[in-house]
Amino acid sequence: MADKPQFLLHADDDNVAVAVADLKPGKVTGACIKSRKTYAFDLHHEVPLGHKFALKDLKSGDAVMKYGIEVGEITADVNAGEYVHIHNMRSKRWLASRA
Amino acid sequence: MASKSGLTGYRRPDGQVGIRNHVVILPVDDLSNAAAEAVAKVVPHTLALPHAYGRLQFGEDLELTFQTLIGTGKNPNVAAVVVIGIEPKWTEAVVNGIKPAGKPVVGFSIEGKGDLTTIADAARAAQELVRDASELRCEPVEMKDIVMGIKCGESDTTSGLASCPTTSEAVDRWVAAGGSVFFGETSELTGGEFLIAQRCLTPEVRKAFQETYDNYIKVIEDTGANLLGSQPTQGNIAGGLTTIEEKALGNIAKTGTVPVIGVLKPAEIPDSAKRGLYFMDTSSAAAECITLMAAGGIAIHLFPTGQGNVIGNPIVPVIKISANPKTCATMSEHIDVDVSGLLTFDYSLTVAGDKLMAEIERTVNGRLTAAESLGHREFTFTKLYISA
Repeated sequence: MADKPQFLLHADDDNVAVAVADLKPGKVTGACIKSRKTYAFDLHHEVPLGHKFALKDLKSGDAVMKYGIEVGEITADVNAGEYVHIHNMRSKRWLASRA
Repeated sequence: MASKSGLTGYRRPDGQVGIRNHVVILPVDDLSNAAAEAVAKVVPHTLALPHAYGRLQFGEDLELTFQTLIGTGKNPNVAAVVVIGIEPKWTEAVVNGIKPAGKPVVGFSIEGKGDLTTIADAARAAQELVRDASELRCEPVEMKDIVMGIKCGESDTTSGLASCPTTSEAVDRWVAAGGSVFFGETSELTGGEFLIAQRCLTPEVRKAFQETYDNYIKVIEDTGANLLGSQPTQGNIAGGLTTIEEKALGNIAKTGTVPVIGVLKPAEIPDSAKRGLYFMDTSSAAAECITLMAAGGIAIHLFPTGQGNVIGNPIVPVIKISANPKTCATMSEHIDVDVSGLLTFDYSLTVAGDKLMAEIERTVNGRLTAAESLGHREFTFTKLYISA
């Protein structure tokens, strides 16, 4: 990992990570904020600070895991390293709430 | 003189401890705002609390407005209260509600006299109350004497990663020292409400929590509305939060690890002998939530923010904590504690907690928060339904 993490995971079994700097496509390194285990991924999109990207290929209907807990579902297939937000993810609790 | 804890505060007649010494001019209703604000202009060092409601409300909605007014008057950061209302009966009801706190409280009503006479009478009373309040002195107090509120706003993903966990450190330390902390934001537990339910101390508390949560969510879901942009807010979405579940888990990350010992109705004041972490049923809108918690007796409030919420409260100091390096740079005048170094592993959560505790101590002892110094005095009532 570079000196400072470029992204953080809340839990090692999460399938999305949070950019903690404005990231450009390319190799990025980061860590889990709890375990401090380090990770490296190929990022395919620009991801601004605070926004998320997928850590593995996810299919429509797959659960999005963050904090080791389900935080929503994928609404359009996403590949590892791609940007995840309201355009391809939604709440599983408030079903009327969608982009 | 500082105590062993280093904290000082105002011990009120009812035993509650405040960290500010306001003489409040409290309008019962919107019609009385002008007179209340005029008194505050004539008598320096008083604080008028104008608001939008108090007329033709009824039932539970009226009770909540009364409880908010009375609780605001009873708040330990308030030394004395001048109540001004259009009619004598409701004015008297608010005065009588504040009286058990044992602090000076007087009421004036406008009908039959007009604003100018009322202002003159109320100003004379306010002047005496300000002079008396100026003689009150801080004494050594402990953490357990000071009730704390927590609520986050304009959150983003940095909130759940860093500013909320930092707040959580303070919550655990406050409760371990025997203090009380309120959290609320009922709708904003959605997706993590089971985590709160698991932490309820007894089956009775758990049942009360679940019923409170279910009732609030039913109101939201019965509308059938798309809440994207409202909850999560546009600011949350701009900051990278996508769903209510994701936002909720960040929110819950600030509540410490201690058990939830009770469930409070909006603006309810708990039994001061039973101290610990309380859940209060509130809106997730910052001004409404903090106004209700202030009426419930908090003397200090911790407010993690990601995108930069600028909220303050007229009687309760609100400490802002942020870990978003952009917000800390572009909105620095609003941020009391910058913990952005947590995102870059520059220091540990314990160190961030120490940093926040040091800021809390300074704020308790009189240092103005960013929000106080900028004049943020959001005093916003929660309305349950239409007026008659």
